[in-house]
Amino acid sequence: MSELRWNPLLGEWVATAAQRQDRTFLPPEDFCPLCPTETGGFPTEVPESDYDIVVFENRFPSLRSNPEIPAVEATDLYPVRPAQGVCEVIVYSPNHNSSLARESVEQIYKLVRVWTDRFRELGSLDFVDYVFIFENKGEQIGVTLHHPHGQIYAYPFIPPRIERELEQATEHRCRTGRCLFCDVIVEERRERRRIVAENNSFIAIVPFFSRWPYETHIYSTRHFQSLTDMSSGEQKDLAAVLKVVLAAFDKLFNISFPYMMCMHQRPVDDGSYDHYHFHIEFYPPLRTANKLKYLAGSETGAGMFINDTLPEEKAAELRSHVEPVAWVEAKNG
Amino acid sequence: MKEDSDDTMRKRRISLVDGRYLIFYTFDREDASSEANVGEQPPAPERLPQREENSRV
Ligand SMILES: [Zn+2]
Ligand SMILES: [Zn+2]
Ligand SMILES: [Zn+2]
Repeated sequence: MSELRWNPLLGEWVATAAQRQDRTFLPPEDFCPLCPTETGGFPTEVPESDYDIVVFENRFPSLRSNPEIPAVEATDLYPVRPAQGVCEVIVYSPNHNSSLARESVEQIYKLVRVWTDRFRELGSLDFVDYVFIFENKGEQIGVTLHHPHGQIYAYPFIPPRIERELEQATEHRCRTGRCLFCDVIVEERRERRRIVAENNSFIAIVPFFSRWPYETHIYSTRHFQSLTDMSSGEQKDLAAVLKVVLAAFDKLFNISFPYMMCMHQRPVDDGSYDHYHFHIEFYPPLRTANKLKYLAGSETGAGMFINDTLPEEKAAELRSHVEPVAWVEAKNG
Repeated sequence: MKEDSDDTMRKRRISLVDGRYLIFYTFDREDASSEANVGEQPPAPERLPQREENSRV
């Protein structure tokens, strides 16, 4: 049973997805559904003994391409629509004990190309208005599956966070004639203290307005809107800046650092989004090695975040862990 | 701008028993001749801003 229910108080959709968890086949204790299936072993989600990067439809999706008819009746006040969309899982590597941070920059570059392909393919579906690429990582945010993987949700509408950024970008463009995000880059470069790392095509910062202690944003330095606008040089630079930021995260407390990674790109609904600007936002839930930042009353009930750290100091901490990226495989013949 | 420049990536799509799709992505090693915009070398080491001691003002 799943459907989209309209929240008239906030003007946004909520996915109600009450899944019957069919547990007919009980896997072994140490079973990982994302590992390759070993010959003669219990079948995982991936029916082969090796792979590079794999994408599949989520077994328990909150959105599906052939959605059920909603089980509740819509009213004027409470519109309801089918939960149409796509939920994909993207397995970064066959190595169970790896993580995006630990993968080689070459492997991350492959992932960037797979992301690009998924954005293009899902974006071309007529019922999809927004392709959201993200990763939830770490038990601290409720992830029990440790095998390195991310997700993609293809929504049948533009989600509210993106709407909000689009509105702000539109307002900024009308007022100044410039791109809001390009202006953020200019401002952060002028200030310099919140820059974590930079390469030819991307800049990583702990923004002035961070809501989380180690919130980090990666912006393309060229003005474009999505993965499909990138040259292969830019794809490599994105892999490199991701490797730098993720490795620095892990060095902060010498743990595999938890985070939510959210890629913000233009919608795919044929609207005009020249004023938007490709970026990735990381929200790590940790304040210290063993203290979590909770979303409490002010954050959740009022929408004002209280960040009890200074972005300038957190950026300096991260910067002190930045190391150059080493491309291992020679790229020439 | 470069729509399908990625000719070293291959997709193999299969159908799982419950009807869901699964896609294997595999990659050829890039050779010198197959470059679109790869004239550039791998990205230079990150340019770092000067270290700041303590930025509290
Ligand atoms: Zn695994
Ligand atoms: Zn811009
Ligand atoms: Zn954003």
